[in-house]
Amino acid sequence: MPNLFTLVLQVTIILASCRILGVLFKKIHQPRVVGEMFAGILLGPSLLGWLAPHFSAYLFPPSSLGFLSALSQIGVVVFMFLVGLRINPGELKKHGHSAVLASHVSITAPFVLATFLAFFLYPKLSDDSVSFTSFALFMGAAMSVTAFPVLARILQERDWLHTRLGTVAIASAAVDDVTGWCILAYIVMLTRAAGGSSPIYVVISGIVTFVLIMLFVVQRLLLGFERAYRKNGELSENAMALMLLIMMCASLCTEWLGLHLLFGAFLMGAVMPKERHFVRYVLDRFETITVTLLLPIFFAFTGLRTNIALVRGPEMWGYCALIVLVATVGKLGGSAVAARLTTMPTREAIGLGTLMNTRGLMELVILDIGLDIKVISPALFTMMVVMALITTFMASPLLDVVCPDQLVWQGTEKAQRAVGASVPQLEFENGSVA
Amino acid sequence: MQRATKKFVVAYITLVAFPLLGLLGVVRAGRSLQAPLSIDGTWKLQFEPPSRASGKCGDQLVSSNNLVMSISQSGQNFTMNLSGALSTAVPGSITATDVKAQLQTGDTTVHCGGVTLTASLDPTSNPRAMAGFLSRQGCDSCEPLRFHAVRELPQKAAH
Repeated sequence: MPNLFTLVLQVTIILASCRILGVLFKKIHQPRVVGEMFAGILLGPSLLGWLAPHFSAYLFPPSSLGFLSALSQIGVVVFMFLVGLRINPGELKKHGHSAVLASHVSITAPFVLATFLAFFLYPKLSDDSVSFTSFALFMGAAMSVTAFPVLARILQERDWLHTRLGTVAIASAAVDDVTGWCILAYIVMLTRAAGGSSPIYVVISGIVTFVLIMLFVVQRLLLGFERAYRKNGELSENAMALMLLIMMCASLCTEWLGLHLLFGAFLMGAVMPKERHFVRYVLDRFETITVTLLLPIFFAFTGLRTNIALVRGPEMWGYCALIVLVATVGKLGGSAVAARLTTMPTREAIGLGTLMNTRGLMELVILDIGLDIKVISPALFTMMVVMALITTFMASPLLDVVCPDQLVWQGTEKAQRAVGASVPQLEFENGSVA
Repeated sequence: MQRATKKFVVAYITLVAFPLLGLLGVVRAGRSLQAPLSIDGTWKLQFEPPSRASGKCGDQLVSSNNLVMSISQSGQNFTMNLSGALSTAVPGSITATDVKAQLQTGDTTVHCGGVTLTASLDPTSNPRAMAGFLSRQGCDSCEPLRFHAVRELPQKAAH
């Protein structure tokens, strides 16, 4: 049985810390989620455990971490469902070459650079229980991800959702996330199949069958939710409970098939009906409790696993700097070059690269999986968390410098005049994303 | 083919297709890389011979029955927790098959200072095993304690 006093005390302190840091970061024009991520790190061994080891040991005794982990995982499962729900595969088609090239290059450039980096880091930060292929592919997937929700939040706060830059960024980020999660699924499948009892072809067959069922059976059944919403203007509690139930079943299926809980939740979100008002309604119903209660617990749990003390000495900090550099050059540089080649003005192209370089929460989710399946070591995990924080933190100030509001709107008007049409409206109006 | 489409195709091949070929090359070349031996996990220590303990300081180490060593590895570096008398997480390093760590003991008397762990891994054994010595620093009368350790639960490999 969990010690309820300890658990509630932990949750109280986590929520208070995340809220305070979130508000403080808002004051310096950062998305609240960046402050919450920092709060998680501060509660871990990197600060609290270092400054007050006895209090830290009292607050987070090892025996209590299992419960905290379970709560945080439930939060991330719901969050991944919401991420999948926001993704609309039809969006990419509307944006033509810019989005296609920018999104594909923003995956391949950091991915390829990360595998080159893996060549250098593998003998230093990994061990022989991990194959180079798994290590390199994981590094690639972790570096090519974009924090779709954080990016949407930045665009919304700047009122850029309807600009050319905003629409291309959202469409590219959606493609990035889907691709990134497919690659990660492949790595997790390989890793778990190696240690599991089922041969890999059985695992692959199971996953393919599951995906086909989700796409051709479950997706049609889910349309019933949208019909009920259209008819009544809302969904009954029973309908919401059923939706949660299907999401949990999908999560259990992917876990049982040798993937991870999160893939099922993400796929369930992705195959949900995409009618704009319906999506907004479901997001509103799920987001509050997820964003205000469960995700801060995830940040704290990630913070507890992040130990800056593991990055010892100039050599290790050099590796960390290299990771940040490669991640930024690959993602920001790759996206910017691709956008520039498709006639986007230079500053707007750099703005797109900056937005795509935002990794945020999605990176932490991927890194947590990597640490769980032991494809990355604790020190590399810490370095990658530092990279996620830096690349997310740098987005807002960099955008202020390279992409002033006026320039973004001028670019949009010019593009509209050129094609004689308006930039497509997105599904994220008034979205309160994490 | 329109000029814009042609430009797009060229850009796509240059920025997406070619790098992906490079990726395949790197993955193939990387297979020959050697990473440090894995020592991550929980190890059970047995002193050899079990009853022998030299001097007062050695007695203290051996009296910690069923010494269990927890190692969290990050490539060539690791942190180690030794249950019993030695309980602080300490850093160590691994070079080829040589494992080294400096441990701080709970007893801080002059005679029984820190402990140096030096061991050699047997990379072919399954489960993985190491053998080596725990030697007291600042204690001339203490003979190093020979130990043999076996990893309890092999870590799941990511192949």
